[in-house]
Amino acid sequence: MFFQQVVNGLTIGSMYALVAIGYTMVFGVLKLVNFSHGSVFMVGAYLTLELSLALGGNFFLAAAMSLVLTGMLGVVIDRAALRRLRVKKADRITALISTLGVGTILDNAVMIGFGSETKAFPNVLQLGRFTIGTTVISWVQVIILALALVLMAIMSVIVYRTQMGCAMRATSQNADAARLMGINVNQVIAFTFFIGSLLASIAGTMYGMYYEAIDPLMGSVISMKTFACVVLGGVGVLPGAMLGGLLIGVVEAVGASYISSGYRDAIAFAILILVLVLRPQGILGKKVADKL
Amino acid sequence: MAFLEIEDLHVHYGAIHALKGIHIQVEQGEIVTLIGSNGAGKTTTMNTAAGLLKPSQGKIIFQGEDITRFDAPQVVKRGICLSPEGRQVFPELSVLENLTLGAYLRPPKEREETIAVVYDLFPRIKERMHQPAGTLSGGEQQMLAVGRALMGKPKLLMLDEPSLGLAPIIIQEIFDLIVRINQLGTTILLVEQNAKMALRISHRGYVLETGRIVLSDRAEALLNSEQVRAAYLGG
Repeated sequence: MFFQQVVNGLTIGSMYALVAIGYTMVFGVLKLVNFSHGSVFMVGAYLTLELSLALGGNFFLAAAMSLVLTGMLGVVIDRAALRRLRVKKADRITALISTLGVGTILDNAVMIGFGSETKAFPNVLQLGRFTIGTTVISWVQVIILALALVLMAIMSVIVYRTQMGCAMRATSQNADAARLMGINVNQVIAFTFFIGSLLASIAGTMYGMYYEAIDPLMGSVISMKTFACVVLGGVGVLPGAMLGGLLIGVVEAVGASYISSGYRDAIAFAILILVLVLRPQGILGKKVADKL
Repeated sequence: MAFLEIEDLHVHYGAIHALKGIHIQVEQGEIVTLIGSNGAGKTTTMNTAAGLLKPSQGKIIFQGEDITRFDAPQVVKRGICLSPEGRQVFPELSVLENLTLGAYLRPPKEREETIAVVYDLFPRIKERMHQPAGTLSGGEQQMLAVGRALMGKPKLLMLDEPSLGLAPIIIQEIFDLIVRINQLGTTILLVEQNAKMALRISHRGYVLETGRIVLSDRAEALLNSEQVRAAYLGG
């Protein structure tokens, strides 16, 4: 029973982690909580579904097109809703409200375009399941977790081992100094949005396959929960987002089965509140110490 | 036409008129210093020349090219690198990563060579190359900031307050290094609170007061000027 919930939790947690990466990277570079990110995740799932229907069931091509298109959507969001605010040096709260607006627009656009009802999502990976002891594990769960881990590894390499990653970290620590190095900060931000939204699209597709259903409001719950994951792991810290995602997934699944499934969502937010009270910088976050 | 020409430069921060039409010329091979009290507009001048700020009026011409409207990366590309006020190293990146970013726009294979030159100038930061820059002492961070600017192989190196907050013995070391960098062929535009030391190593100087140039001359002449002595050199 316990291990069953851990496995289920890791599956959900790996989707949280992928969404949380996009959240935390944008926060790292812009010091902005991008509340449109959950809606981007939802759009990713819808694009996969609708493209797959339009392409006559070619699911993998549809998923691939979705991740590119969703990545581009992220870039467009920055360009249309945030860059002008940066140029005008608007308050961060203005940018935050702008992302809330973008989220609302996306949610409603999908409702107008595809209807507000829950839609069946094809699980093309009907590969069956296997049991270890009393724990039942489906191959979809294995694939979701494995893919998420591979993506996290690739992200770590990009952020910590490449020139673009170094530029991202520099921009996040001091954007003006980064410009003095010759770094095109807008390009770095666009890249960050592209990668983050691409990962959200993959997570959205995984979510659809796992629950075999999607709806236009699935983004708002995910948005709040992954925000909790980000805070738990340490805002702006990449491994923190991954750890926070997996942890909240597991705690939520275990808690739901031992307490009551009605408390599933409450558990994530209870963790968020506890972290904010006990360790505001998160598990892997560092206390900010600036040398003058 | 001078190497760097700043003509009638005006900069506004909202309603504040920070620079009110300044003219500065820097010739190739020189060390030129801007002195003046806090709020005179020294850092504004540097940041505008580096492309961080946009002037409301005036021109900046570098090697005959109008770079007034250029963004910071384009300015770096032309060969002007700024070591900004307050050092501004990337605290969580290693010393080596900081230096590598300084050569961001240059081909990777040329970096090794420049890093060797920088380590030769600043052996102290070589010892710490894998440490996060935030763990260095103030003086070491300053050396890193100057080294990082040198990594861009600038034709014109701009140094904003390189002695700020440092112990006198380190300040002397930094000024000696500025002279050495200049002798290696880099033109230098320097901003300093420590006017006496700065003028001693400079060829020429400009005195800024509330956004205007009030005096410009050879550095020796400024050092001996009654007006400058009274206001900036402590009598």
